[in-house]
Amino acid sequence: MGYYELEDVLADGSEVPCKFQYSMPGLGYLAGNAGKPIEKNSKLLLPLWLARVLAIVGGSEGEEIADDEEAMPFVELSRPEMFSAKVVNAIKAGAASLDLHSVNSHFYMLAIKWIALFGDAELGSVIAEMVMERSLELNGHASSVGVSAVESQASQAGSPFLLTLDESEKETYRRAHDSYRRTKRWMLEK
Amino acid sequence: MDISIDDILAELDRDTTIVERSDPSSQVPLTSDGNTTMVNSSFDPGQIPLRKAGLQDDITPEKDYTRLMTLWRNERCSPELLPFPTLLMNRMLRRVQEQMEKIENISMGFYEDGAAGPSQQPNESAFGSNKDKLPLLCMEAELERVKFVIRSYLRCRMHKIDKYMLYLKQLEYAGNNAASLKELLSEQELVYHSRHFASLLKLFNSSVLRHMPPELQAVNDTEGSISMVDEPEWGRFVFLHVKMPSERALKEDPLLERNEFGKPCYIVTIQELNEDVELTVGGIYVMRYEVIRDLLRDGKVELI
Repeated sequence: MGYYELEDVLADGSEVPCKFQYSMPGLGYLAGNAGKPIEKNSKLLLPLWLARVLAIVGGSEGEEIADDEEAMPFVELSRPEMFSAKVVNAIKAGAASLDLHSVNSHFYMLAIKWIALFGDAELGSVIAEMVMERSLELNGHASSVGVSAVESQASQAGSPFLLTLDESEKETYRRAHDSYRRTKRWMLEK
Repeated sequence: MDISIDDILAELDRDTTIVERSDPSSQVPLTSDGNTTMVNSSFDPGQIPLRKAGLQDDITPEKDYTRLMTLWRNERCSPELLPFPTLLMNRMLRRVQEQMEKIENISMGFYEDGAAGPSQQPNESAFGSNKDKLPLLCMEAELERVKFVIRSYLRCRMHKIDKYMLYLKQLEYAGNNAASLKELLSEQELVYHSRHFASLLKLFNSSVLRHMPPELQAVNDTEGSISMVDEPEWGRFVFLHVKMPSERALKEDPLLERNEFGKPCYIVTIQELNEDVELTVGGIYVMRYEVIRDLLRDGKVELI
């Protein structure tokens, strides 16, 4: 994932629930009340680009912290809603019928980041299965193309499945659909 | 009882071909020598084994075109920028130039005929020029085809140069890297790269970066939470076709092995999974690019 990639920037902006492990003076604006400190154990939603760094580094800036505590990072990431047991069970039950767009529109990207951060092999295998299952469905929808404008309109609007795609799936769908359509057009029209 | 005489027959065959081939090469010893030295020094890794076999007629316009097509396909499919075939491109461009002049000359000839013709026998000359136009049309169409491939190839490379601008810049600074920038890019591409980089940097600097604190002004910061240098996507999956090696390579290539069905194959290892895969000759595979990178450089596989 590149530095200048827009989807990646957008995905990094989505918020994850965090718990502060230290009291931080002056950082109250993160919780909405500027000028006041953040209390220890306060929970708030931070964007991933901030939370990811804070969950790794820590300790060194807090002054009177014993050596054994120095490894403890500033915040603790709690499991966000979209990777909760509820969603994982829904994925296992039927990945193709899941409304991924409403769970999170950048589900896969965030899943990759999350798995990279925690080494969560179980979630990884669940999502790998899910990608396979949904891709089959995706291919089915992408390959049903009409050549003329009227037909393609009909096939576009056709399915509720297309409304449940996340952003990366939309991209995949668009490309697959385009290449199917162009091939067909080339075969038929020249 | 069957006595296999295939090798004896092959021996006989080779003798006659040698005689046939030695004739044209002895007639034009100078040009063919020049060509072979050019070939041996050219950076076109795919063809080195062939050339060492001492094929005098390895450089023909036809073969160069085939090579260009392969390079074009590889460039379009591979995630990284492949080395620039300087000598091949020089030859192709020279031929395009010559062919253009030739077409020009021939069509000039037509004009003269046309000027001389109508005054005497209009019917016959019109018939004659119609008959002779077909080769001219073919030549023009073919020239267009070759020019299209070259243009598309160069454009594709420029796209990659844009994309990996910072990465290439780093290669330049690193210096010790094996793939130095000179081999990778042609002269014009080097100029393009440095100038484009400079102007982009100027734009960034004047619009955004000068408002930043000094430690955030670098455009090639790799220390931050996200590396700003886009590397080629080494792990991307590509479609590849395992080429049939020449007879010689079939015997001598150390990488080539036989599988349980007796077919020749290359063995590659996927590092992440710690898994060996055999790529049978003639097969088509989907494979990670980093795995087959060396085979591609040696011209043993081609991307499709």
